[in-house]
Amino acid sequence: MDKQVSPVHGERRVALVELVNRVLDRGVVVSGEITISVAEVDLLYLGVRLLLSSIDPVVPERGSAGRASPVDARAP
Amino acid sequence: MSGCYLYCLVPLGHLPPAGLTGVGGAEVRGCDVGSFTAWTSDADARPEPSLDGVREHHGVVQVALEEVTPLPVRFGEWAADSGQLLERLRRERERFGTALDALAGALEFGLRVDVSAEETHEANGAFGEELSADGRAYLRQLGRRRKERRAQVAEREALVAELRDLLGAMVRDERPGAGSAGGASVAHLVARDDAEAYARTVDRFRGERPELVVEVLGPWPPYSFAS
Repeated sequence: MDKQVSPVHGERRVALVELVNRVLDRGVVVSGEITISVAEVDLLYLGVRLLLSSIDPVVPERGSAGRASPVDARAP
Repeated sequence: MSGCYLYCLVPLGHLPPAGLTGVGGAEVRGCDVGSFTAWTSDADARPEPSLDGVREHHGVVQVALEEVTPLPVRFGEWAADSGQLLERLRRERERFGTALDALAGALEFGLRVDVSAEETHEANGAFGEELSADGRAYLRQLGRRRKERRAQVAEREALVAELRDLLGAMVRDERPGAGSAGGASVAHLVARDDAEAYARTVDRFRGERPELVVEVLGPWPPYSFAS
């Protein structure tokens, strides 16, 4: 992360990451079928990637080893 | 037939405002299930996680929070038809009813405490200057740096504990933070009536400790306390 980011921008980014982590990783689960298909990837990382791909959805793709991995996201 | 997407559960009879839309722009409606009401919308398929979807989901739950404390549902709760979803909710109505009751009248705040960015930058800079040393020295420095970081983590956790003591009974419950960009992060469950006093107490602590970064985010719907 850029250490020289302005305080307002930094605070906004922290708030967005906290939002993403809450909505994707917390809250009650009813069916037990929710899978955010990025197994073994830290959700904070996922939150950051969602920030970077704020236009396109993050769609996991199967790599050659058969495990889901996030696609490369475009920088804003 | 359209599938059904679930946002949150609220006390019985609290309906979404007319015209409220959620994921994919679908209109949100309320369905009564035993002692609570489920806020749902039509959805042909389980939505993929995206920033827009996250914002749309949270937007609905946040509207619910304006009137009552909802039990937030995790993103992605979807069933092929509303009957299936309602049946799942009925099967576990006691669990959900108990969870709703436990959260009644409360809000979530996110609290993050960290040493200042300048202090972190200075420490990282000093370590960076030593990287040109030989391999053995580098490994020693790496070990020292890890020890310093463990000490920093302990220091930040102690600061959070100190703040928690100041907040006292205003904190009904505490959970690990929902993803911190560094620092020590916790989620606090606070009664609505205590929200202003909570914020004032944190502000006072921040003023007394200018060397620290103290951030409060919220109020949130109580995602961190939903299970």
